[in-house]
Amino acid sequence: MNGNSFIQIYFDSDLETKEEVYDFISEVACAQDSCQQKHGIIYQFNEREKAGSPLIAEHVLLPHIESEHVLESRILFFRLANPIRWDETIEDIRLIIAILLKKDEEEAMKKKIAAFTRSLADEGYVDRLLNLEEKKFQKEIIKFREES
Amino acid sequence: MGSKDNREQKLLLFLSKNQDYVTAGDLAEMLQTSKKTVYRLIKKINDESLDDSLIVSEKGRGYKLDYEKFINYQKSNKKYKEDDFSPDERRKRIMEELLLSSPKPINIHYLFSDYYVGESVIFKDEQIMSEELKKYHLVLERKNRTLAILGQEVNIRKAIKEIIEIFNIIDIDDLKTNQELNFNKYDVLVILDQLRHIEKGLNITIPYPYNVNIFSHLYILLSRSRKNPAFIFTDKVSQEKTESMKKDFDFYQVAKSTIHNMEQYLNNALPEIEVYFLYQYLVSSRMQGTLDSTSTLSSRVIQVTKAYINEMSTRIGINIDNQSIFVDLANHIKPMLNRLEHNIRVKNSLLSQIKVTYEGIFSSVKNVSEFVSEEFNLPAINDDENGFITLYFAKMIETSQHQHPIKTLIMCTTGIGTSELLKAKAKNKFPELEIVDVVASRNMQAYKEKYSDIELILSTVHIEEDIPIPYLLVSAMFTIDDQKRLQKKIEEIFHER
Repeated sequence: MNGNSFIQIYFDSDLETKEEVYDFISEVACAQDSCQQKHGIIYQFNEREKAGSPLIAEHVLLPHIESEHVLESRILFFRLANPIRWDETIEDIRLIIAILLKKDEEEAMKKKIAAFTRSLADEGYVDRLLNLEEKKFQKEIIKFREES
Repeated sequence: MGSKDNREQKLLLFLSKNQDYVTAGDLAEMLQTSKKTVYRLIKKINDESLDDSLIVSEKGRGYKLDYEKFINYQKSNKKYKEDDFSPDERRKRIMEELLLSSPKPINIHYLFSDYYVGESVIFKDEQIMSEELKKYHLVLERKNRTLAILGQEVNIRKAIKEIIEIFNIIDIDDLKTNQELNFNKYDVLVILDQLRHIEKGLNITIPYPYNVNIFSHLYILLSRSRKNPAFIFTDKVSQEKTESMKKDFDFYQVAKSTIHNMEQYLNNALPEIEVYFLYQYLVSSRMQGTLDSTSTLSSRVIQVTKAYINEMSTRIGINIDNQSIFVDLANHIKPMLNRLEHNIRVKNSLLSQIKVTYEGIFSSVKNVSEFVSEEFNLPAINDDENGFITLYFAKMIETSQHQHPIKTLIMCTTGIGTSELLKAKAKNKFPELEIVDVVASRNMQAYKEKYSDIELILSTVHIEEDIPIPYLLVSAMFTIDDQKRLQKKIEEIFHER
């Protein structure tokens, strides 16, 4: 984990299932809060998936929600130690980028996050995020943070 | 013969498509027959082939076509067929002979001797040919056991060009090497040389099909004058027309020198009118090069072009405000007006395809052409020309140069996740879209009011409520399939406008 910034990187993450991933994210989202709020977040992620697949490229997921349970907007990166099977249709996932958006977030923050998601349209960038080793991976992310 | 022949063809075709060996079992299945029949068919094909076996076999692997032999086999097969003329082919060949020798009469016995047909067939052929020739204002005259075609030289040449199919299928680049076409090789070389001479003289290139048209014209000129060296070109060019041709210095010079070269090649003088004739072909051809600009367009050309664009725009319900189609079309209309005036027809070999592919546009163009020819007092505009014009509008519609971009909303749950990503991807690939905003799906109602003129919603999430706006669900991956569906949707929207 890298400090308390809005971007958090989990390199070589050993999470293995969707449930574990969402559970973990919900912990980060509402650190000292009640179980109910965590459940709310997990529920929202699952609902979002019913509406549309979070798969944005081969091996890459982008689950994202906007929620009143989220205290602080965040982007979480999970570079998985081992590729995981997400559900019946999605497998071989190596990178998960989760976006947590606080309800009624300020425009500036929204723009910052939007700028980041736009950068994911660049296949080269996604490729680098998938394959770079830890130091360089962080650099790619930091580079983005400075730009925005 | 039917089914058996058919099976042989099928088998050969199947083998020709397969690079590798095919087992008898597979062949039997393909033909829905027994292996035994397959063996028999292959034996028959191999026995009948001229030299060695057409189909080779190898134990344990099956059968394979000897491709080189197969091609030869097809060729020899064709040759065999060529001796066996259908009634239609027979009549065409006879008309060709008569047209080239016109107005000289030819003995009927001699004309039909190759085809082994009886009196009644000859009589019927005469009637059919006579009907056909009427289209060109030509008369088939029967006198003392001879036939002759009579009429104006202009019409005779036109008939030659259209009846002799060879002129419709030639490919200028292929001419020198293609043996099958049966052209006189020396004539071909000389004429190709003349085409280059014309292009050089005018510092332009003559594109297809106009180059073919000029080629045919010169080839027919050679054939005509050789078959009938004394033919008298009774048509005369008026003084006025000759004067106006001479004013067009470059074209006149080139036409004159080309005809002069032909005279030398023929070793025979050609009437003066040939220069005028060729000159008309030249000015009726679309040229690429220095002449291709708007500055040289006459006001009549501009008016006709505008009439086409305006009329088409109302008929197919699109807004054409693009300059590029105007220039393109005007450069086509200019020589077209000349062709109409001088009764020169450029065969449009794509016509049947155009009619099928752009049925709607074609029939609109046909309508507009009728209107235009009446409005501007032009001769009837034929379907070959309509076909060409159709392509200009089809091209414009397909590249949607005329369309305003589609106002599009992009949507996902948050409005900053997959939707932003989708925006970036869609923007690059679909310039037809004007992405107005990226929004969260829960604010749907608010946005519907804010952007009342939205034409398309692109969403990565399913929208529950019923919305009156075209809407497309795509994955955040924006796969090829998504792109295809979006392309289709865009076409639908353009179409409905």
